[in-house]
Amino acid sequence: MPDREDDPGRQREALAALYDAHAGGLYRYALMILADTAAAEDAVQQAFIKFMDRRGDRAVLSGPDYLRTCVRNACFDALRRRRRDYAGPGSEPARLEPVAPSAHDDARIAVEDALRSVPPEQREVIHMKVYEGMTFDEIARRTGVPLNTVASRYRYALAKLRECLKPAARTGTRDE
Amino acid sequence: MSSDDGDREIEDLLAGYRPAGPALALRDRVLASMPPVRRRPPLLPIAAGLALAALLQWEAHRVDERTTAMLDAQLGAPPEVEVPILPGADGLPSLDFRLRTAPPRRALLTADDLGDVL
Repeated sequence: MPDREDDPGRQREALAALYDAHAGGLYRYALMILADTAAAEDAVQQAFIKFMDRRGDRAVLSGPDYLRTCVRNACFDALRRRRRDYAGPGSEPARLEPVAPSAHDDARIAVEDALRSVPPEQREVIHMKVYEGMTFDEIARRTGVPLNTVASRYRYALAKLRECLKPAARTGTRDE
Repeated sequence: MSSDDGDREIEDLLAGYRPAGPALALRDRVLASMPPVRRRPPLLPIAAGLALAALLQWEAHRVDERTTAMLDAQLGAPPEVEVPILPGADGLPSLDFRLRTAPPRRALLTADDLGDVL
């Protein structure tokens, strides 16, 4: 008789529950780093496969943290491959969705374009700070990047975005 | 406008959006790619077999030691046999004595051995 945890039905249920709880955030995180929907899907899929394959290990007991690390590694592996193979941006670039329904498409497209002009390492910090509400200290701990580097990346990213988004920011402010 | 105000403005603008969520198909893709169940090898029978083998080997060794000690105690050391040395005509021990005191692995005498003696 199979053990409870070896039962394929239960495994599928567990994976589905894990996916429903964390896949959205992980996918958005991957999409922000990669700016490519197909590559972000691959990164998330790889992370879940790795998690399910190693779920008995002590290292993966903290599921969400392990999944995030897997996604991050998959993203930066994909970026390294992309740079090595001189591949251009993905076939379907990242899309943003408005939090409030009144947002303008022009502004959204401007933000998407501006984010694409920021390096992936800086986009990662932007995502964790703005969309996940983490402190620099938390970001440094989770990414393994020194605190000062995290803060610098954020400042550089904001400076670049400010440069690209000045008109859009003004429009947004005026519309409000 | 200060740099901090500018940062706040950009942060507010960014916060008005968020990256789009995953396509529904990704869920099916992930669930379909679940790795096959890895059955753990039955460790208990293997461990029990190894333990039994070790126990039997230890017991056999112990019985062997006890038997040897018992036999030694019962039989004691083999008595020393005094062999009379009967000198031959040439003053050397006799052939009979030399044959009886030869090393056990020398079961056969060669013609040369006999020639030396004779």
